[in-house]
Amino acid sequence: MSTRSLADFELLVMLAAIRLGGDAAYTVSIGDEISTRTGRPVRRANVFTALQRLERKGLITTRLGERLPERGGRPPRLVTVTTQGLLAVRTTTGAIQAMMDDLDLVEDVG
Amino acid sequence: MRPPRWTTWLLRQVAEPDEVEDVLGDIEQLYRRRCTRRGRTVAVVLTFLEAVDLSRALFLARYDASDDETLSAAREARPSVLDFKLGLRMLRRYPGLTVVAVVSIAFAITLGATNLEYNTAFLYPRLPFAEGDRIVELRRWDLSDTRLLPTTTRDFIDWRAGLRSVGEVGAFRTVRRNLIRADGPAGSVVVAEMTAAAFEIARVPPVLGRGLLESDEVAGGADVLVLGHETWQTLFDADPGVIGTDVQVGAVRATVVGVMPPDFGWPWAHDVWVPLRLSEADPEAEPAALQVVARLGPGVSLRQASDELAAVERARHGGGEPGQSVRADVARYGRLPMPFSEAALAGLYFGALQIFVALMLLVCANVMLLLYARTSARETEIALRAALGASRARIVTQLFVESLVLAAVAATVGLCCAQLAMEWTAETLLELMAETASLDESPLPFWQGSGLSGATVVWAGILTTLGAALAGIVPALKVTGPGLHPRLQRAGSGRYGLEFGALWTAVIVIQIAVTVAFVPLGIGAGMGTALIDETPFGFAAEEYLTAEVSADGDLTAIRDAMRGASRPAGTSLDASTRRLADRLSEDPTVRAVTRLGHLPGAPHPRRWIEVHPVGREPPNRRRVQVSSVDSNSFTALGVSMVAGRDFDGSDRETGDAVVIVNEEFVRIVLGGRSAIGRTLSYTRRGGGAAAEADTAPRYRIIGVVRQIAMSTSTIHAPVEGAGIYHLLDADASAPIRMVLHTSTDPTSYAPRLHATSRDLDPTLQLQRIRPMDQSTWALRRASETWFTILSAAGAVAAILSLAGIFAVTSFTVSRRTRDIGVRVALGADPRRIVRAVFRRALNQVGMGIGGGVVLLGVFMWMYHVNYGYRLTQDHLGLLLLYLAIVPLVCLGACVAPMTRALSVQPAEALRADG
Repeated sequence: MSTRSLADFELLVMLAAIRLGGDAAYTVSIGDEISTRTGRPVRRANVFTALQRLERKGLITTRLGERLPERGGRPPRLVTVTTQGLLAVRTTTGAIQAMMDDLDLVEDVG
Repeated sequence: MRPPRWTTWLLRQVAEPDEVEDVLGDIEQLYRRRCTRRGRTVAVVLTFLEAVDLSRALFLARYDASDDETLSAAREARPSVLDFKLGLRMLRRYPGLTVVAVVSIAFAITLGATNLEYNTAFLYPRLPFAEGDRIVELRRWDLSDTRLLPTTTRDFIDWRAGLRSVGEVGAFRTVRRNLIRADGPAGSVVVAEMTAAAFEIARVPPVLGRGLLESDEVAGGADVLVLGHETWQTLFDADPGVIGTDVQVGAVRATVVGVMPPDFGWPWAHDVWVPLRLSEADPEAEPAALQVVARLGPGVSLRQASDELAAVERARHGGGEPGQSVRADVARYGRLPMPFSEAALAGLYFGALQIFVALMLLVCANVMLLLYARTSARETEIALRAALGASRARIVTQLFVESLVLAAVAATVGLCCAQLAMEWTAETLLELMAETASLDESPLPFWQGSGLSGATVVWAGILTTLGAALAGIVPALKVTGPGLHPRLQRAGSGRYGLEFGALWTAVIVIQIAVTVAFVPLGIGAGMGTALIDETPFGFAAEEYLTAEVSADGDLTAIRDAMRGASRPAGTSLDASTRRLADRLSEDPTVRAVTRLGHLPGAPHPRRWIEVHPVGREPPNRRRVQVSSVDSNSFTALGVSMVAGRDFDGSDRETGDAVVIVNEEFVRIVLGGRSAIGRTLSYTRRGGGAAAEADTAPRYRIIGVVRQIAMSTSTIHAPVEGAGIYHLLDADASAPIRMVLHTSTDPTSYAPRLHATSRDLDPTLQLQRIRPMDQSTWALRRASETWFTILSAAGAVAAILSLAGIFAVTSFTVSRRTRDIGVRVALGADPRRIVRAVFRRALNQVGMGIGGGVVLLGVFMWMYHVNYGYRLTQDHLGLLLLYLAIVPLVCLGACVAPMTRALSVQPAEALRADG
């Protein structure tokens, strides 16, 4: 079975979900995590559709969590990265790493 | 802290059922966070943008995944991103047009959406329940003075037994109680005592435990309560194990059996629900009024249910009518109480809707005019594109997208303004209602947020799109019509073929007419505000302290009082306030104490009267103001009698039907003739039948009092000061106004007034304690609001008219540059050139003013009929002055194009002609 590689934003979403863990990763927290770590603004709509896409591909699974008062008593949809998802992350980051080997970006940019 | 309702509504429409909770949770979490960090206004705007973005993403996800053929065809036909970019570029390229169009469309949307929102909320409330529009209220009206009668337990039992056209029939009443936890915080909550049937009508299941059951209504059963979500969160920290907890509700210890979901406040704005236990065996013993609610049966209309209720009422009264002026009806629950038929209410609602549509049409017509001028200026470009192979549909699509971009920017600004306007009006409304109503519960129901509803946003969106289509497609079709190719040939030689036709003339004429009609209404409202400020009280009002007195903190009792129910003899408000007045008058610092039905300067009821003719006098009917006073009121206020006598103790004891009138009554109604001894009776507008007039109570005028203020103005127009005073009735409905003349600063006496009242009768409620000269506050605030709205409408109409006139004259000059050049070259008189070029603008201004005068006449007639307004000489003078200024201002818009026309150099004009 060939392993999928991920697009730029999908990779960020997957990495955020892995960082947060299955009990804390959902749309809002994933968006916050990406914003905080990368400093780039994140549109929730993009996170939402990326999660839908990743779930369709079988790279994540979702389940409803506990009701939270700050969400008006509504439960968040928690994200768990599947084994296939972890493989996809590893493949994509591996490809990036392979392309970066032996590159001296500072010198090239300079 | 909830996100705006329309954001949640929008997301509910596009999200799949299994996505809804997740998406709404996200939006709410983000909204709360933004409110905390950046304030409510920023949070509303960002949440709006977020909701639109999320809706777009959700929609596209479904749209792209669809295999539907129609959707596939639409995908092929959709306009390109380039069209939208071009549209944005056009906004920058024509900044004047962009500003005028955005301001006008945004204004129309702000006004229209706010108007629509409140009309819908008050006339067609949308209860957020399954088939919420089938929930009704059963009521009885006293049509003689248009008030709701209290519904008794007997009424409820008989209606429930007799009605077949409705499903569940339930009753409730409202009380305010303290909710106290044994080991936690306490709070004051609004409690609905309701039957299980009334609770079931909402068809909303609890999130925890159960709702109210019929078994809970059994007398002597266990006391239970159901908590609202907010109460559960604030007083119980959202404890999931709350079920079974014992709490104190007022004097009763009850067990929590359920928790309702968020945003549930059925039936009005309630926090807690307890069973209503009625004494069915002795229904007359029930002290307080009920509200009866029901669900219409399948296929049953409101009319059918009303007819059945009327039949039940007839049967209850032995086959006769329940009373000459009493009518029972079934109305949609939550509607503003008005004794109008469905058809009349529908007329009212659609009238308001038509105003919205008419306003949008007018504004769009103006934008269309400006866009047409812009499109005309781009005629050469369009013709070249056509020559290079662009189809007509493609060009029309592009021009439509350009106008759509303009309209979308304007609509976004308009909706944000409308949201702010809603918050402003809700705040003003709450302030005014708190000022004029005695209820201390929320005047707005739980389903009525201060934000725009999704339906209004969609409605505004549809109208904006239609407006954009109208403003973009009509000029586009005209420009790309059959004459395109000949124009293409002329374009090469610098000649143009487009002209402004009759349609545009009509648009400008209508706008001028609206400006002419609206501005005086705004000025009138402003004058009304000034009039209220300068209310001539006729005595030293600032020396008097006033307080509204009602009895019993129980909301139901207050509502009873508002509906006119009198308290039992001996405990009546009349007796209590009399005792209070007696006690206060014992204080040496109090010079005088009296009681009034209405405060001078504050709004008074207005009723039609007929003064019975003497000799050959024609029947004399007039609408006058009515108030009630105590027998010592005029003395206490230091107002003397002009003729006849004041009320005295014997008038109350004998119960004679006597009244006192004021000086304005004598001047306006009687034309200066003597009033003493004349008789009058209340009548319907225009007078009733002779027989009815004979049976109506007759009141004898016993005195004429020096003029003191009644209402000086409604929010719409000044009102006549003619008034009648009755003696304060022993069955007076709450509240009674207590008036004190003190030897010290009146405001400093307020704490003593409170203390005396508490000592005498702890159930007396004193509200709005203030000096009498502040009695006009509520009316003034309402008048200011009306003035703001009318002035803004008038200003926008004026901007549109002037922009339209400017566009047309500029367009004419640019099209006729060559003609003007030739005429100047041939030595034509400049005055003739000006006349020739601007004849059309002059005609339009003339027709617009004519139309405006007619429209203004219609408005003034409506004011006359509804509010008794009469055009005074002063007002006529001001109006004529205004009508003289309007044409000058309109023609001022022609100055710049006129200067340009006169500076045309013949040589350059002829050279351009090639």
